[in-house]
Amino acid sequence: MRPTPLTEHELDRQLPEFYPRIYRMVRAMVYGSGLDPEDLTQDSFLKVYKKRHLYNGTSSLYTWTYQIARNTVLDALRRNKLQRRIFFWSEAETDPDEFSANESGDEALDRREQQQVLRQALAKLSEKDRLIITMRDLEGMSYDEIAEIENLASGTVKSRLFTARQRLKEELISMGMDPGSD
Amino acid sequence: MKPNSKQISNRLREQLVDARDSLLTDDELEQLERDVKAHDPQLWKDHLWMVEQAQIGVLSRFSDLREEQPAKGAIGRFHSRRQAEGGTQADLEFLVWSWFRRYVLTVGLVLIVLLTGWQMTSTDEPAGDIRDQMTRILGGEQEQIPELDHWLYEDL
Repeated sequence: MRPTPLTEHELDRQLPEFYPRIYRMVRAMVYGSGLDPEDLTQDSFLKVYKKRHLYNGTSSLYTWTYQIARNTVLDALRRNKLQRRIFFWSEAETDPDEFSANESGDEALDRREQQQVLRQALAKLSEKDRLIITMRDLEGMSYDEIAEIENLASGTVKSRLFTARQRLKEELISMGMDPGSD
Repeated sequence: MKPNSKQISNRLREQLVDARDSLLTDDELEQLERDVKAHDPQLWKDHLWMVEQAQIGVLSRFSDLREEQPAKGAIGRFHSRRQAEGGTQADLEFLVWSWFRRYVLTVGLVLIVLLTGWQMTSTDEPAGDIRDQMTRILGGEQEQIPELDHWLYEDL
């Protein structure tokens, strides 16, 4: 337990380190949804600053921040999905650099195209699968950190990660990525 | 208790993740390969695909995504927004509200419960008192208001 509450100054000091990492998670999570990753990252940090007196030090500050950002993003995605259903909105606006895998056919995909295909395939996964892959493969978080954030056993994190990667594989193949291709 | 098929599958998945992270010895890996192929050969194929793609294929692009940075000046924009949305004022409001919720509402609820209890015990008066009061208020004699008696006492 922390003897003293988390101060604004402490958060200011950690912000440059945390902000890019949280931004990457948010961007991976909302890719293709039409939601603005910068807005959502800011929303997450506003909550972190507002709720800082609730931080009790039982987890690392980064894990605590990540949990708040995760919940903010999942709430936004749920609201977004609901709004689309209610107002019959069609496809979400896509990122300006979004790439359609079908356009390239069997041509070798260059580095940038592969990144975009990967983002698109991730976007097609369920939020749960996308999040666990983002935490491990994109952010490089440890299994213990993921287990703490998701409130799961470390072994469960690994088996879910494997299943999520299998689904990612299926998506990539359905998008024209040959399993054996570079 | 003997593990069921799903439990075995989950355990193998866990170990395959360890294998991808190169945490197994050669012997352990060979044993795992045998176990996985005996249980579900597709799992092993998926594992090999994941390992290959993580090294030279599309999954290796995660390292590029990891390098990605937010737009320039993002942190500055965050601080501006924080200031614009109240900053310390919003923090203060939040603290006052949480203090209010914790203490004022709790004390209020306790008071309501106590007062209600007190009122219930103190209004336990004989029916005759109420009758006298109603008579005084309406200014009539008891015998002049039999209809009042009727509705006033029918449930007592």
